[in-house]
Amino acid sequence: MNVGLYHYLLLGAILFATGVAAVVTRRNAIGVLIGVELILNAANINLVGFSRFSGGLDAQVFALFVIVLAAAEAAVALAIILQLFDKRTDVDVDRASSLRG
Amino acid sequence: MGAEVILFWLFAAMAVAGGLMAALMPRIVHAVFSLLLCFVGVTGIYALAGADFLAVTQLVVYVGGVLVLFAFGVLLTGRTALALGDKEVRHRKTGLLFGTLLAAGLIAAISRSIFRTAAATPAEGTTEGLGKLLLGDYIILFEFASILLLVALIGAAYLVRRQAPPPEPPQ
Repeated sequence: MNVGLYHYLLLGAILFATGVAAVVTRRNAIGVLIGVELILNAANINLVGFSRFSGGLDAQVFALFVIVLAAAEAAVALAIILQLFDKRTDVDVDRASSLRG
Repeated sequence: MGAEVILFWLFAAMAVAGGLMAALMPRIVHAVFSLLLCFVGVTGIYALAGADFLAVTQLVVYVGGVLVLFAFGVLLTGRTALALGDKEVRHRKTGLLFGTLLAAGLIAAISRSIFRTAAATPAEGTTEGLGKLLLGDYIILFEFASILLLVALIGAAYLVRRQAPPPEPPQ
């Protein structure tokens, strides 16, 4: 039995579902961010799988851009979470329900 | 051939176990460290698939950068993260059910689709090819990515700055 494209897609699907579950169930904003990172990694696994079984490197370029975006997103999101913590002294996404300047 | 299959399942198990633990661990610190397991598993998957440059990038950016950032975030917001305790994951059963259904639906969809695949390319260095693509076909995207990183850096630094003690009335 060899490792085929379906195995990569299967792993990506499972990781994606895990990430979505983390996003919808976590109360801590950092936990939600962890879920988003899981989702992005799942997308990258799919891209790498397609790259391997299509013979081109273009999918890997997109995976690189996904990594860059994930890093930028994590930095900005953590800055927002720190500001939230400063204002409210908690990072509970259930209770951060008001948007006022 | 056998070794590759065994290693694939080993790394896949690491990634899935780490992901599940990151989603379900009651304490956020444990979730962050489970994420480490998941990222290392994903790195192994990349390396097995012959994406060597991507594997190293994943290790450097995620494990060396994003996870350290998360650890700092947990440290700086630590008081409530510990206080939430068991209530940290809400609707755990519903979330598990939802995740299982989503995974089952995706797997059903994947197993019914037919992809045109070429034979698996033999593993060889991808760095040269990636560099040529990045500075050739994808040069615009590459430059935009650098601008995006600069903007994100400035934005993050601006967001976390200390405000002056007497708050100004909003304009």
